[in-house]
Amino acid sequence: MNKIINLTKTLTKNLFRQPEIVFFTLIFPAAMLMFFIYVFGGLYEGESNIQVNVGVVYQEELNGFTEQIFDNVFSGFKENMKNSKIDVLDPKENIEQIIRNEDYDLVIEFPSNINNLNLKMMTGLSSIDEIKFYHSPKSQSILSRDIMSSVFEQINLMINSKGEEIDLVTNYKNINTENDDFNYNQFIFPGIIVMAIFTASIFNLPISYVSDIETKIIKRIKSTPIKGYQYFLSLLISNLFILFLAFIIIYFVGYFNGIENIFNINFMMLIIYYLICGISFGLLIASFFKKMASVSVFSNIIYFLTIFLSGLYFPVKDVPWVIRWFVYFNPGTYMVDGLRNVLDNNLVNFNQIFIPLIWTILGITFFSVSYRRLIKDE
Amino acid sequence: MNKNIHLLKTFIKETFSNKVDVFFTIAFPLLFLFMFGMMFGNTSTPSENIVKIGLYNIESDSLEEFFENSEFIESNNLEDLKVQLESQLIDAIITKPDNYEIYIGEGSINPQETSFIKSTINNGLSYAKLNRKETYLEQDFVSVSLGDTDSGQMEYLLTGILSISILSGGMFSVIGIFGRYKKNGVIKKFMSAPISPSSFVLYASISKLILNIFSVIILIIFAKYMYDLNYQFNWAEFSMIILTSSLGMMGFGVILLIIFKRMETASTAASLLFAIMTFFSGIYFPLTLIPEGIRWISYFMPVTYVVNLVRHSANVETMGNTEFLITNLVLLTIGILFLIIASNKYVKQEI
Repeated sequence: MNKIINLTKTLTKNLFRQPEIVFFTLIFPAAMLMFFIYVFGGLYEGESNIQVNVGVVYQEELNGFTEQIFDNVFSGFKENMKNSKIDVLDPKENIEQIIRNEDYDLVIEFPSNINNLNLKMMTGLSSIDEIKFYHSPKSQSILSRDIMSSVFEQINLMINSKGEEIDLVTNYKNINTENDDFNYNQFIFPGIIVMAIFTASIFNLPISYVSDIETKIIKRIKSTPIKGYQYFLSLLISNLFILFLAFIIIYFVGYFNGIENIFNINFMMLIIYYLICGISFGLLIASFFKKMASVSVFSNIIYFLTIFLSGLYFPVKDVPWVIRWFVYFNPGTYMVDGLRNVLDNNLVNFNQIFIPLIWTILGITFFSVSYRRLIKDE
Repeated sequence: MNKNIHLLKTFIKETFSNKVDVFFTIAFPLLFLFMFGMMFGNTSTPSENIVKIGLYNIESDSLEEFFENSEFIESNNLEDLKVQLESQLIDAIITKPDNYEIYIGEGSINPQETSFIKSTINNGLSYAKLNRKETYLEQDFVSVSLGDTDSGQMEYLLTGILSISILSGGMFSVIGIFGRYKKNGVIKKFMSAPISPSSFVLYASISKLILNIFSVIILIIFAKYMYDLNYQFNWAEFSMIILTSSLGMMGFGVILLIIFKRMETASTAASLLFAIMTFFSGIYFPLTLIPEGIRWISYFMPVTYVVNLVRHSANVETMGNTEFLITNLVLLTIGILFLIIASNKYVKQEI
């Protein structure tokens, strides 16, 4: 027992001496969680954080109901989107040049017969030319275009309802969780947990193991009274220890950002199950390599593919078939979905247990054979 | 002359056989281009987007006239519709047990898409409730190109990814040259041969530059055929940008090596810088989505300036000649200066 403790201490110290392991395992997942929460979390709750700079050109001065409508709409917009600005521009200015100079993200040009709206609202007879939205191909400009376009859609709706509230009750449900309210923070948290598991299991574990083979550490250990299984246990515990610390930091960030249910016992049990799957997946990779250069390349490639094509950051089920097969084979896809289900108090699907289990069995089987052969050879 | 060519050949062979470098310089940006192209490549205006809606026990005739840009799929099997939604074959399901219950897939990195689906459904159902729909204000979208070519969002994305690829290639390569080569005793071995430190640095840097150029060419060809992009590079300017930007980022790599001393730490710092550059470059999503308090970070990122250079050379965006020259000059100066410092600090020491 003492041998395992001492060896674990040494291997853990060794892990902490490697800044890339400390950074990518301990800090990076929590930093990503914070980043996603701050950037996208607020976005799902409303558009108030978005900053858009809109210029408005009236080819004819507004009057009557038309003036009233747009005054209300634009003042409401300014109130709701405090970081944004709407300026009225001189109609003589060259709008395309304004966009090229990037003075505004979007310029809305009202036609010279916009006041016909007064008549059209009353009689339905008059016609109005199109309102033009000038934008650039920049993502900021496209975003502004889409936001303002939806505002104008709302104006159309408001005129149709004659300003009266429409008694429409809609209840949106997220297909993945069946919950009524979508919470982005709740959505991204399981993904970050899976990311931390894969960082330890696909990166750290196979690379430290193969490095120990290449630098003959395992051979040297074999010449000491330490048994093969004792070395393996110590390697595993040292990697799990650093992952455990990573979980604490991620939980800390999650807790202080109000992510609910993360201390749910089922959720934590499922993390442990997926942790075993992740470790087995890493061991499967380690079974096939004896050279550091090869394992680090393979781990890098598999890590990024597994993370990006698991649905952790964005939906991946409509990607072309050239890469969709990887989504279905990827254990990460099922792990992320499974954790999301449990975090939202839903049941885990059969696939979300079964497919990671297949990878676990494959990993343990292949690694056992390869490790036994290695110990024998050494 | 022969000696130099032989030295260059050796470095090129070493560079291209280093699988990690090749993966991160060529395959990784390709993967990014492919994935982000799929997500953000849709530049169509709201009126061109089609929302596919599954209707459970609701007749499409009752809704069709009230919905804009929508396609309906009727079904009496909710589970089947759910499978279609999960597989992203449809965008939403509308059911009406009592009030409208709408299933939707959320969590995209592009929340605007979700917001568009929701507003299409809300507007359509509202018109259906009113039982009238008249369009009082028609919208027309005019895309104004910022450069000499008629470029869209995908051209912007590609030029952004090209910039990140050039920058990361430059930064990581120098850590390889002075960190990995030193650690593995490669520099010492070379210095025991009749090779000057400046030749060593020059040819090692050229080999990394060739890898970078190779990566850029592959990205451009891939993007051209995959997304049918409309850009016209000014190749002379673009070649200059690859040279100055790669050298500039090599300079940044040297700075990291000087600050962090150990190759592993410098490499981690470079990865961190790469991650920050990716998010704070404004390439994948607008910078205004990032809280204002931390948005200033983007001004300190070289990518912010290099991306403007690349877009200018691709005629996607225009840039003043003075700004173009100054930015290139700054990058070139940083690169040459720090490569000389690194040559003195890491290579001459080994003689």
